[in-house]
Amino acid sequence: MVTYFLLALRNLTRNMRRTVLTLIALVVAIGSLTFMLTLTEGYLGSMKDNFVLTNFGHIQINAPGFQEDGLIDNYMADTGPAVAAAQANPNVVASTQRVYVSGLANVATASAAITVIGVEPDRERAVTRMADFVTSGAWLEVGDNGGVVLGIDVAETLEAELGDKVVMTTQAPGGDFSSQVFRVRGVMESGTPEVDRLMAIVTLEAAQTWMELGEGATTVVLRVDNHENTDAVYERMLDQLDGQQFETQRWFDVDPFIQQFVESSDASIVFILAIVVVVVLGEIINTMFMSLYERTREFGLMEALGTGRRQLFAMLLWETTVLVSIGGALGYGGAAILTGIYGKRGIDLTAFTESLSSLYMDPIIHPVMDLKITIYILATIAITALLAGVLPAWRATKLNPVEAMRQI
Amino acid sequence: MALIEANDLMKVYGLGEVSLKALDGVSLRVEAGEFLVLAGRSGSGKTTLLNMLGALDMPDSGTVRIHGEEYQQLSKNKRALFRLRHIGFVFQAYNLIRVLTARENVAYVLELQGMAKAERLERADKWLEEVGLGGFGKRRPDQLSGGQQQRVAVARALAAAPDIVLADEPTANLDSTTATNLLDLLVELNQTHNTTFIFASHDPGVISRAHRLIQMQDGRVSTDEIKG
Repeated sequence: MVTYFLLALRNLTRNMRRTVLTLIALVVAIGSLTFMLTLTEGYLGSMKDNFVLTNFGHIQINAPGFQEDGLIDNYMADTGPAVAAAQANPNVVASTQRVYVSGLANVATASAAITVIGVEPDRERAVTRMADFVTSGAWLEVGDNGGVVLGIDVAETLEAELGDKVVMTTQAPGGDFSSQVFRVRGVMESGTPEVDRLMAIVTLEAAQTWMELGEGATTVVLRVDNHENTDAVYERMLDQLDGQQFETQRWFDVDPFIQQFVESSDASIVFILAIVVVVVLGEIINTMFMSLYERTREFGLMEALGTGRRQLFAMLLWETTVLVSIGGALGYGGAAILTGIYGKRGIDLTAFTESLSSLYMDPIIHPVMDLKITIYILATIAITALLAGVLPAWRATKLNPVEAMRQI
Repeated sequence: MALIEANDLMKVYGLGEVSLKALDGVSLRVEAGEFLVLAGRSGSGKTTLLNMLGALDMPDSGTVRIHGEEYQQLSKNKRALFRLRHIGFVFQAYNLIRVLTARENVAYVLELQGMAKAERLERADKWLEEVGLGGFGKRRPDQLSGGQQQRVAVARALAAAPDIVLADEPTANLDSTTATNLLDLLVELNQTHNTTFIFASHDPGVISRAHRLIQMQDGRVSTDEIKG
């Protein structure tokens, strides 16, 4: 075995130029593939985080049908079981209640369609990043039942400034219109059009009083410790909560676009992976066949000396494995270094901010290396080595020693 | 029992529509310790016969027994093992594995035989010493002259302790002095180790050393004489 490894290494140095060229192709292919995967992982991760943490949360619990009709009549009079189930789940980092209702905001000179969201100001901070999006003024204080934080586009439409009064009108349960006056405490800019164009955030208490909901709310929002546990928490909630009273949905059940985008990205990664494997495979098979033809006499000699088919096969396979492993390791290593550098520094795509923000993507992408990528690359290297090695190795075992030694 | 018994060997090569009888009913018995030369013109069948005796090529009909064992029924893999156990080879050229040193070339067949590393390296050194290449063990083939390369091939063939060493035109690529030195060595090894040597050659230098000379013509044995 040691001799085959030694032979593999030395045979690779026989034609250094060819080996180096093949290695360069391998390093570039595996390196760019790895870096592309870390980049994709980085932006897909940030998309999911941004979507979930901008305002949605990982899981929302509503009264059945509320997600579809959005009617305030469809509120949960008693959110206690949902809140208790969420707080008892070890994978739920935080939870909060909200009231959602559509309405209209007016000032003396303008009006704007809004979505009023009643939030628990302190708990909301633990669930989403909404408080971080305030660009002027401040986030709501607990008990500030006369204040409102407006999305930046809403504020601009109304030409409302901090401290200005805004009259907000909505339909309370039962269909009666009800208006309340709020003072602008802050303006938020999330970069996400749906948020910036519609949101008017008041305290939960203010919304409950205004809509006469008592202790009720339309929604309980859960933040899960990581995306991978979303399904497990969801299943647990389904088990624990009465389906007649509560409808539990994951973020991608409500808005499947991001999830579909992630899945289509995964599919394109597999496609690109396949292309890279085929190209690299062609390159290596070509190299190995060239090497095989150049050494046909030597293989004939080895067979004549008593080298068995399995041993010849193993020798060629070792050679391919060594070549692919060196190229793969260098490519992976290079990409890992780049990921390390740009993971901290980020790749600045602010020139595309407008289009990126609608996809919940950060303008600065931080590539992320994770176990999945490492497994992808290792599998690619292993499959490539195996596929590229098998054919030339098999051909070597089919050589007739007498004919092989006659070759010049 | 003879070391080698070949009976009625036939081999026909097809060259398009023309067929060529390389061997035409050759029978042969070789005893242990012989120093035998197969001579004849190019195309007389001597190399084909040598390849058959070495289990490198298969006869179309007829049998070869070495130590009473027939190899024709064996698979390709088992024939390789058969060669490993019974036969050593010295070819005309390109005898060595280019990327291995002289010592590693000799040790290669010993590794195939399953010998432990320390033992095979020690034996390789001993045989390199025996063929006059002590101190050349770390050189690669391209750092050795043609004669030295043939000596390494001889050391490799004998290190594996085979029953027979087959040599196909071993002196063809050597100058006359180097060829003479190599032949001296082979004669000496034949005498000291009682190893059976069979050559295929039309080199008069080789023929003159033969204890037994078989002349081949058109795939047949034309003469078979003991020279003593």
